[in-house]
Amino acid sequence: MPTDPVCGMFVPDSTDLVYEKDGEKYYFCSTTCLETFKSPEVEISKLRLKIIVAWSLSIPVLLITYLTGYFALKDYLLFALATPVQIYSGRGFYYGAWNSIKQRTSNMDLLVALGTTTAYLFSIAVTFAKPSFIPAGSVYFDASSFIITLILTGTYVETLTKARANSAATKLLSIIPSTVHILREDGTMADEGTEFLKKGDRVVVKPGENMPADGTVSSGSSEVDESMITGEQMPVLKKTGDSVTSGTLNLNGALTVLVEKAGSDSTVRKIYSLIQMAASGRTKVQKAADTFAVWFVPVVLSAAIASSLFWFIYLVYSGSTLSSFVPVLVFVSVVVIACPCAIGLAGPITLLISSNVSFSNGMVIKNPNALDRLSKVSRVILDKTGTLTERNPVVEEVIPLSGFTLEDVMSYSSALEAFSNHPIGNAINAYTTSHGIETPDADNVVETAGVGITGTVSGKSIEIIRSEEAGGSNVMVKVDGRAAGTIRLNYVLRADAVELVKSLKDAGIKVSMITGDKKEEADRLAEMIGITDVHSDTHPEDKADIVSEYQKSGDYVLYVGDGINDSIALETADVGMAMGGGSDIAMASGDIILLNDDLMNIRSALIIGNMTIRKIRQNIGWAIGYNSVLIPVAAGILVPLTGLGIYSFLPILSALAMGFSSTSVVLNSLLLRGNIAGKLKTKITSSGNITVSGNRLVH
Amino acid sequence: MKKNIDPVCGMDGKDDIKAEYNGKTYYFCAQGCKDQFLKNPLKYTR
Repeated sequence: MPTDPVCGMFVPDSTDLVYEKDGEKYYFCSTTCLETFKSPEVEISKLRLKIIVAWSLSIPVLLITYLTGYFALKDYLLFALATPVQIYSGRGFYYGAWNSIKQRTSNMDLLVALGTTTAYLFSIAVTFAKPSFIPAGSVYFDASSFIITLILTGTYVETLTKARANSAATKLLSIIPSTVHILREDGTMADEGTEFLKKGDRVVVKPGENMPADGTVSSGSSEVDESMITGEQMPVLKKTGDSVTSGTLNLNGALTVLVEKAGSDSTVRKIYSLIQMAASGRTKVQKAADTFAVWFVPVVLSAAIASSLFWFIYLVYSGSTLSSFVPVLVFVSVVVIACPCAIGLAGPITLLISSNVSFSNGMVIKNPNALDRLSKVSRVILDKTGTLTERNPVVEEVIPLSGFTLEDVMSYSSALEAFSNHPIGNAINAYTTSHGIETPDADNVVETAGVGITGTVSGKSIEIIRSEEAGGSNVMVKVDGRAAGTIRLNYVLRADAVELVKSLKDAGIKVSMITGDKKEEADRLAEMIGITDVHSDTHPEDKADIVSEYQKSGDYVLYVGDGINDSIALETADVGMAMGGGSDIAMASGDIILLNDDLMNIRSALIIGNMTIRKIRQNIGWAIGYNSVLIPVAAGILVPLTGLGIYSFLPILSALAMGFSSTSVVLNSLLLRGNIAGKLKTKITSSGNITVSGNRLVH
Repeated sequence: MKKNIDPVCGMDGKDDIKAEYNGKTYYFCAQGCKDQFLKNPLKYTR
């Protein structure tokens, strides 16, 4: 059964309150929730007006009720003040109640409508019919109007805080510009709405503007700030042929971009959908709340009727005149104090905050069940290449052959590689730049994928043959057909690998490493970063089997890989985490996608998983505890101690408690953001003293 | 009111998309989740 994305209640999929947005269907318990989802700003301003009316009439009702003695027109005056609150401010509860009856379900609106209508109609009967068996002045317009006022105020606070909870996701959507400069075939430019953008369009993105869609640069070059997607602060140079991601900021040059993925296919919209989806699913820990929620309203109504009947029979038998109105107040108190929304909100609001916080830290959690499993992780398996090491290699050693110097080998290679965008080419060019080796001009340069690159430099024929090997790469350089030297390249260990392993071990988590490297090489690297459990000489297809073995021995495994040749291992592990999600985030393997290369995010994800699950448990415990304790109080369990006088103010206290209950769940969930931030900061500070001695670690 | 939570994605499962594992029936929101489940049921059931 689907859940209402606004209030978290269960809704049968047969409901006609359905709204389709970005290809997703959303189901609602009431028109109020539907309207709030469709246009939150309009609903908030309507709600604000209802609250102003409610407070400005309820306060006089309260003052007149308690501060004045009985006078002839008192009940009529109270009726006149309370009626707009009931009919105008409270009408949303009636719509909601009616929808829930039509769908044969039950929601908070039904309880509030029942409670306030009972108090309101009872008071009308007393005011106008003046039955002799009810004492004069026994009207409860204060209860009916104050319950509506307090609950509406609670809803308002809740709506505002929920909007704050989703702020990272909302901010993400707002970086997509609303209009784009489309480049027409005749070369003219026209401004159009971004929603009309489609694959194959060409758009001009000026400096200072965000990319409206994913695509490829077809002309121009500029630095682009990708920090909003990857968290990487350094701008990236984009030139013809490079891909750009929606939402990233063009800094200093105009770019013409050929659109490849626009609208709901764009990276930004996919990330947004994943964040929202993470909040609409349910974790295993929510099972208790689900069972409770299903039976909640029927149980509350039965309890309200039963306790009301009990007091009626008891008071009639004891000959008390209170029998004519106390049972009504008991009924009102019980239905109003019961708070199904606290239970409904316990999970979704926490998950929404958790997925927003994760995104702010550069992670996308693809489904909430992963958080459950994340909180149980006992072993982290790290794939070496692309995870523990940088994605691109560096030159480790240059071996010139007789008749050639190191400078000869590197300058010839660099002359040709300057035309290439291959990682090996970039490594060679970086080496010559940093070592001050001159790069001569080259002609007739031809690059053959998977083989190498050829060309002419100063009249000599140069050939570069690239060969990949486990753990690194070798480049053979030939001059006029004669071997001139070899360049050895290797992958650099990421600077934060040592810090990560230490922080995982400190947290009591076992760490393993998997690599295709030879044993000796793998052991050397593992020792350098503090890992003792090493799987070397591993073929990509064996990785999943190793994960399974650990699972069989009782470990909950988090596998971290680059998602290129380890997708089965990522799926097999209890939690699969793929580094550097790239552009197709929704398709990427694994449960969690790391948008940047910050290794410490692995530890952060574990902290977020643990804290989210703990917070959901806390919220569920609070919501169930609140209802289990206060419903009996509303039913009169404290009457032997307090006397029946408690009912003169219990209906209003019930509304206050109910509003407080759901608001406190939302506020407690909001604390999660601060809790996680505090914990992550502590971790970074406490492990910040680890330094890698010497230069960069090259294995 | 019966609810079956899809063990893969946490959304609500449909009655007609289901799979048996260790004598228990699991329901899924879509075929994709069911396929995912069958690849590695242990991950989603323990």
